[in-house]
Amino acid sequence: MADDPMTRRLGALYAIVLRLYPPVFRERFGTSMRQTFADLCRERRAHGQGLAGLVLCSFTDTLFGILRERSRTLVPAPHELVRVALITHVLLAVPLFAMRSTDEVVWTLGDFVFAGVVIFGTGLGFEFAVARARTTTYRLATAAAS
Amino acid sequence: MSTKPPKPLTPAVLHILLALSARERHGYGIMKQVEADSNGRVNMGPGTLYGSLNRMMDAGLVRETESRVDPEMEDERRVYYEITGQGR
Repeated sequence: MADDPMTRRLGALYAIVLRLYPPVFRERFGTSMRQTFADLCRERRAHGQGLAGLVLCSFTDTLFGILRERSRTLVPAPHELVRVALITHVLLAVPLFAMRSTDEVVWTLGDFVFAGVVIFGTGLGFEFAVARARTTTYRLATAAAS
Repeated sequence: MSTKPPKPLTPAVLHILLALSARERHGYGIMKQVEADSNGRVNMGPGTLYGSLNRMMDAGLVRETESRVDPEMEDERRVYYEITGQGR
């Protein structure tokens, strides 16, 4: 069944919006979502209805879906947070023990806070990049860069 | 050993499970079945439907079956979804 030009144009626009989904989600559902949107357009056309309401609802719903999926991939998993926090504590223990054994290392509370924030932030960035890297080469490159 | 209680189902997930309880369906088929089951009160958008399917597939509640042409629509091949034993 051939679609009318407006349905085709809207389908092309919808396909552009779908590019905002995370790649994994898009590969899994992108084609099906385009088909479903086209089905909805055809249904409205078959009943002699306009497409404005459908476009408004579908695009809004899809944009909220994109935000949901993007937020899912941006929030670190609990085990990632625990791992980074443990590593941060271990690294901060080094200057703490050094202060107890020698007078050459003098860190203030502010130094510890600053170092903690830097180490924790770097660790989270590393976890984020590695967890989402697809290839071993990219993972190794991320590890080498950090 | 204690087991974690299952998370409560969202309305969208419940509607999708009900729509798939009788037979496997593709995305548009699920939407139409949800609309029919709720007497037109629930109109699920594509973002809600496929976002829910994504989480349901991750949770093992539904799975993809083979893609094929819907005999009633006779156009492109479509991915069908079916409920799993856990989903039931």
